[in-house]
Amino acid sequence: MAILRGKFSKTGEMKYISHLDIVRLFHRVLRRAGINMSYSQGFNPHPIISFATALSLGVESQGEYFDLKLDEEIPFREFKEKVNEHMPRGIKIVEGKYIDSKQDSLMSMVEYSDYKIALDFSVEEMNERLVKEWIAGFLEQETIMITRKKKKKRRQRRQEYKEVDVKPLIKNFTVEKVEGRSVVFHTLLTTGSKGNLKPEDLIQLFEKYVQNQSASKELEQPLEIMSKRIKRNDLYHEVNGELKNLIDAVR
Amino acid sequence: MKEEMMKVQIDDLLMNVEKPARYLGNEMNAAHKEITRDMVRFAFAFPDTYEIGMSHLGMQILYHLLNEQEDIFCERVFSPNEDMENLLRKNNRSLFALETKSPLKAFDFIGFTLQYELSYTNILNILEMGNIPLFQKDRKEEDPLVILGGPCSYNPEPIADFADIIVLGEGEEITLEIVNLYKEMKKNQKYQKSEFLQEVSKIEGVYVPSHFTVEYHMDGTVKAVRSIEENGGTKNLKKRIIEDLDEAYFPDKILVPYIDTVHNRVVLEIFRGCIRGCRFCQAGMIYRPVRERSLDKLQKMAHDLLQNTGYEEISLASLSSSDYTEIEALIKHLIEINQEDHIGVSLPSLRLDNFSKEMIEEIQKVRKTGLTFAPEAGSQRLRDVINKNITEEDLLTSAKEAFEMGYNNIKLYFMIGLPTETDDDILGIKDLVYKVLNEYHSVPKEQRAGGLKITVSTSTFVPKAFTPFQWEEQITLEEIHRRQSLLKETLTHRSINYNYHDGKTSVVEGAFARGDRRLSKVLHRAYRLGCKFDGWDDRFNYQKWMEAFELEGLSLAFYSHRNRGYEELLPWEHFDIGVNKSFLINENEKAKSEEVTADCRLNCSGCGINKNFTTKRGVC
Repeated sequence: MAILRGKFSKTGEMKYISHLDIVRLFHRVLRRAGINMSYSQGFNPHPIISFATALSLGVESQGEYFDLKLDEEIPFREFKEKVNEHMPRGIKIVEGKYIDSKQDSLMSMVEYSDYKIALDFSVEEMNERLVKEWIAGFLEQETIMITRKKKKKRRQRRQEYKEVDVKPLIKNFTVEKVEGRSVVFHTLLTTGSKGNLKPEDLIQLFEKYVQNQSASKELEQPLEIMSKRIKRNDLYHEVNGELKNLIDAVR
Repeated sequence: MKEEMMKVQIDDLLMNVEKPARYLGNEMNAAHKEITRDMVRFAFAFPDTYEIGMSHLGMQILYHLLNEQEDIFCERVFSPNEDMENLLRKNNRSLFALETKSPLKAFDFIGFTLQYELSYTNILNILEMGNIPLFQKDRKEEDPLVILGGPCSYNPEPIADFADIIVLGEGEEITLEIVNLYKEMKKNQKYQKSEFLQEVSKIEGVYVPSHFTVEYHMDGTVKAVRSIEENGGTKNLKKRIIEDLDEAYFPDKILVPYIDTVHNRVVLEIFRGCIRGCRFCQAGMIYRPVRERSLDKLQKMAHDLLQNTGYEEISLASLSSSDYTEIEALIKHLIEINQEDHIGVSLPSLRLDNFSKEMIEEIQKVRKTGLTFAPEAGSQRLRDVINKNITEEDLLTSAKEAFEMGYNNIKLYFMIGLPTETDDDILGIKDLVYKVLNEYHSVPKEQRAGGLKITVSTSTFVPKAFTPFQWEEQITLEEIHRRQSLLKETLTHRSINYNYHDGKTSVVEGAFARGDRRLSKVLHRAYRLGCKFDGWDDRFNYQKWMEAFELEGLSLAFYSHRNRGYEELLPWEHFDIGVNKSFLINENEKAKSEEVTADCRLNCSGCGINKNFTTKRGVC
């Protein structure tokens, strides 16, 4: 019995495959590759594999993780070769390490997600200084409120909502590059059981803030986001005040 | 064989549609080829959603068959879901094939499978969204050839005006013959559409509807179907079958979708045809004769398909799996696969009386869902009329055994509106259901599982071409509603759940199932009025269909609710399915006198199929 922690990328068209479908895809690819997986007991046996955290549809990633239980260890290089041969283009196993069975689950280890966000704005020439001012102003707000659906109680019909302050969840939000109408941002967001902010939500909050700002300054045309591309760089766990990715964190 | 065309851009649309994975076209085992000048490009179009089309075994077979040929490239097309359709139309973009995103016009052939009559408007929609003229007569030399096949092509007249070529029978051989002929004529620069249609009509099983005209009597019935070609006739209009299923092409891999589909698993087709001869069943007549795959072949197929797909589940396909001669050995093999390779086995409902006690226990080990029975009619009298040779005792014994083994979920399927049906027969359904309920209560409490659920479903009988009931009238909408209410009022027990389909779809289906060529105009009109996805209850619009009939001066009742005489020339009689008309008449008469006909293995009933076709590993 062995548990392999693997890291994989999900790029290109694969960003359109939902989390649930990725789970099923892994089952099938691993079976095709002839990997000696351990199965759960019972009438409906299934491979024992778990993933770190779901990625929204349309988001690419260089840092996704899984823990897979195998009947016995096989060299990671061999595993990687066999599996990548059967993976569709866009999904690639890149790194792996056998971990102790008492190791915390991926899901409980995830604390931060690191994203690159590229946005195209409706204004042809974006001004870098202005964008930086917006970010500073956005982060200087006392609170950054978002409306979220409340979990429905049993037998509850009507959806209830609550206001949540997500400002503490934004660990970093900076501009990387401005070119014409396109702006590339970098952000580090709290992810997992201690709080969760999705990059799409951050973009929406930021867009709303910027629109309010520009409305007061009576800009000629309303500022809108025309298109967005989001890529997750990696997932982190904090070890002694230092951020480490989910494989490095167990080295 | 055509100029290459610009691909359709969809990247900017995918984030704005539900389940974008429907449109990617790069699933496991999808074909990818470099497009060359002398390649024949074939678009296999399924006129329904991706989830339904991908579950269709016929598409999987023909897709891989065509793609194994070096100079043919077959791609897939499905009806786009509403969100994608709206975006494509709004942005003036053509419908595309999944693999290369080429517009439909880039193809040499668009092949549609006719699985059910209520998908016909989707065919028109696919053509229109591909910028292809709908009517065959309006299409130009450079437009793709529209080719139709599948079970509804045994009476293709209602959709004939839209087709260049209609294929009768099983497609594995004839599709290649047609494409190869096209390829040859193109290569030798002899190709012209009219010349090609001339040549292709010489292939047995090929129907070129534009080569025939239909004349009608004053009362609207068909007077004659005539060939307008020199030396033309109907002698080639005979269905094609595969003589030996073991030798027939079957892919060793199938497409594996990313998203969940209706049948998301390996499916083993164990035999074609059916020995039972139920008189309402079109499949039971048109797919004759019975031809089985050998156990060896099936074992190899199961192994290869599981290996090449990574699927976690396998199931069987046939019209009546219990009738496979080596069913016990086959199931044993599947159970071995289940135990050794962690593969789920989903078995169809089997007649448990054929099996040993140990076998039943083995089966129960892998069966996940509840039991399903299809007595079809509520009284023994009516079951004799339709030749459904299942007795009340069979059903109750099986149900009891299942309850004893801890099952608490049972589904019962019936039809309403069968010929000769009376209110007593309808109430017979109720009686039978309550008897099943009593069987459950007769099992000691500690032995049975709690929470019994009996699901009763009725569909409305639709008379179909080439069945013994092809002359019968279908009951009217009012009558369908009355009989459904009658049953509904009596099935009130809290463990019983009664489902039924809206009768409105059934009467439109009925008209198209036995319609003539004039219905092409009604179909076109309904499409123009906005009808689409008619097989989906939430999208079907009865008012628009009625309006379409009225605007074209035709009556639905003439097609659906009229009793035909044996002497009437039926719109599909120029086709030969190998089952003689005299047999169908004889079966219809026996139905009227409540006489049953034995299954083909017990006693040949002389339907004529064995004189018209030769086969291997079958009954005949």
